[in-house]
Amino acid sequence: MTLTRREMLKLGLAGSAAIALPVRRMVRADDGPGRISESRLPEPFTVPFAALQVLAPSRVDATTDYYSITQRPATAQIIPGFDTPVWGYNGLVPGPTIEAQQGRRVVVRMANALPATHPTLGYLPSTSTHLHGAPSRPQYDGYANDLTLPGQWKDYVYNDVPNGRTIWYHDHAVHHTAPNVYMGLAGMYLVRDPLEQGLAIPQGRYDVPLMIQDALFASDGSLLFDDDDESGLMGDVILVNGRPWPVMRVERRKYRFRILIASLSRSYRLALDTGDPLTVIATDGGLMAAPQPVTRLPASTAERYEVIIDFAKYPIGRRVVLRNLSNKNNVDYPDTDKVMAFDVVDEPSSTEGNSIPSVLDPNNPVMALDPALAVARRSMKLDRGGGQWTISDVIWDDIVASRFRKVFANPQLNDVEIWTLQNSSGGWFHPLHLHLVDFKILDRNGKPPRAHERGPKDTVYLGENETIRVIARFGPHRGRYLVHCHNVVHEDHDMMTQYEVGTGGDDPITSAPAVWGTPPAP
Amino acid sequence: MSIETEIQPVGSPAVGAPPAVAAKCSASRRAVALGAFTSAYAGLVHLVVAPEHLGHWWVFGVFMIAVGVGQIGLAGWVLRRPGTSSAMVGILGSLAIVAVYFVAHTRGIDIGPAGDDGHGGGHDAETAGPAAIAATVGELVTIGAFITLLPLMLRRRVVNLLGALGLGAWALWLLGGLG
Ligand SMILES: [Cu+2]
Repeated sequence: MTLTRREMLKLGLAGSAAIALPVRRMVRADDGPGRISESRLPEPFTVPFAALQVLAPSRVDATTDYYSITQRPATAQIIPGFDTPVWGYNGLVPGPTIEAQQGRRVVVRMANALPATHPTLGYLPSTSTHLHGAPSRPQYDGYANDLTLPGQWKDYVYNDVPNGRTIWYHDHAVHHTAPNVYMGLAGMYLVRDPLEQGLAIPQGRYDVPLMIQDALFASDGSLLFDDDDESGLMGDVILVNGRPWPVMRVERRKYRFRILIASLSRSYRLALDTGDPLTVIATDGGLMAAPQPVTRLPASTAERYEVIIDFAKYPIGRRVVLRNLSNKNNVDYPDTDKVMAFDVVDEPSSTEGNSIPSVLDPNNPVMALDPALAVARRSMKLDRGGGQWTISDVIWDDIVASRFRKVFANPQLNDVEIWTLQNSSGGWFHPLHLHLVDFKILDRNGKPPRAHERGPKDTVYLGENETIRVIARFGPHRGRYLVHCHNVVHEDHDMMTQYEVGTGGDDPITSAPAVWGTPPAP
Repeated sequence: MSIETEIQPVGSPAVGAPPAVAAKCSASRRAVALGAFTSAYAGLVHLVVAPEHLGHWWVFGVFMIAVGVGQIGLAGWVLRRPGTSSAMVGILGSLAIVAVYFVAHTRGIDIGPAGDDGHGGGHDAETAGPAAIAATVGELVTIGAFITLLPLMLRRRVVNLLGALGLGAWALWLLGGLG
């Protein structure tokens, strides 16, 4: 039983290929194609700010606005002098903003025209689109396994948002949400309602969405996906509306900024370098009862805060910097402490909507929920086990293995419940998101919620060893809905579960499956 | 594969065989034992991971069980009837399994229900886990051991084929053709 040297060589060629090539990604992730050198990144506040593009409906009828969106590869100029391959809704990164009026139905015809494989990770980019912050029916909610393959399309129907709010649509495909969103599949969606439109708060050009993200870039300008062993992706470049540390020219008056944290993993603690407050007027689910001025605004992935900044007190020529003081368990880089800057350049060209009313929306039903209404109390434990991120010892693969029958909870339609959310994994924070419902935070570690989170929420930051109680009314639809960590790297590996409202709801996977072909105009 | 060859059955040792044949036998016997052991070991690994694959898509699970049973069966057959036929089946069978594993973890295999896109199966080329690597090492050793049981001309051809496959795989990788 001997092999000659020549035979050993040939067999070694075959054996090494069979062993080494299938594990090459682990190897590659360690050595990596190098990160771009810091000197090639732009100086903060040198790139001009850009507002997000607004998507015009393809068609409008008496009740419905129809939109067409195609997810497709494109090239973006993010770092000056470099082309970055991205996947964008209609090729745009961030995706185009949808502006909806509360009460009108919206149909988004969503087509997947992505390539067969991810450029570096090699997976097949199936997609599922979640409108985060809207109580959609199960089949339109971006259920992780309700997939649209490249070459397929699907209509998403939205007609359920009960009040004005800042929400966003983003990819939610099982196990690939993080790289899909990282490649660019995220966009904003604004819902307006008469109450909010009637308030004397900044509107129109003084009402500015800010999508905040972070990213790592490779030396060729491409996005570098390094999730640090599935713990999270922490970029060294802060992007606002797709621009690195931009600078915005502002007038001496009040502006309303709709802040969305669309980072994969990073959490922020925002502050103005002047020490002046950001006045929070709305949270995830819309207007608060009363404005809350804060000098520090902690915000984690998927949270939305509408804030008013008053530039009237600064002289023309003054630069105001929006800083990031960060939180424990982030990985910080030299310039991740800056987000963007505002250059005060002009007197106001309009003083309309230039105030902060002391009463905003005192009648939001979620904020009126009383613990005495609760018919059930449940506890949810966020942890790490078996090399995966878990929710009460369950991972999404367990749900898949149960043929999607396993649920964390089964509240009846319109039941009020109190859920205790507990982060038992020291060393990481988890922004937890409940689909379908808005909730009110009852307390954080036994103390009243912080000023900025005293409004309707759908995502809550759980720092290490924190315990939070939330109350919600489970509706308006029956069916199965996701609960997951919105550090989407955690979500992918595999920190997601589901609950079912009532019984007999629409099946999220089979009731409106994607279809093959080129979508006709809606 | 029609030639039943010079190797003596291990199960019925050549009582009173001439010394030269006995010496050759002891080398062959070691190759048979090693190949049978590693094949059975790879089969066991496949059986152990089968339930996990059943959870993702039953076809993958059944495939894993079939592979595992086949590898253990092969071990038994080779021990009972060592020869060119059983060695060749062992080599080609192991090679086929390694090939499936290789494609699944580099290009990805495009079958199975879209909704069950989970780890360890489904469409995507995910990096190979420790169990898959352990089984593959076993299969490669099986191939190496059984090659020494082949008659010279066949042995040369199989080794050349494997060398060419290895070279091709590395070339494809260098050219970026592995996705
Ligand atoms: Cu998490």
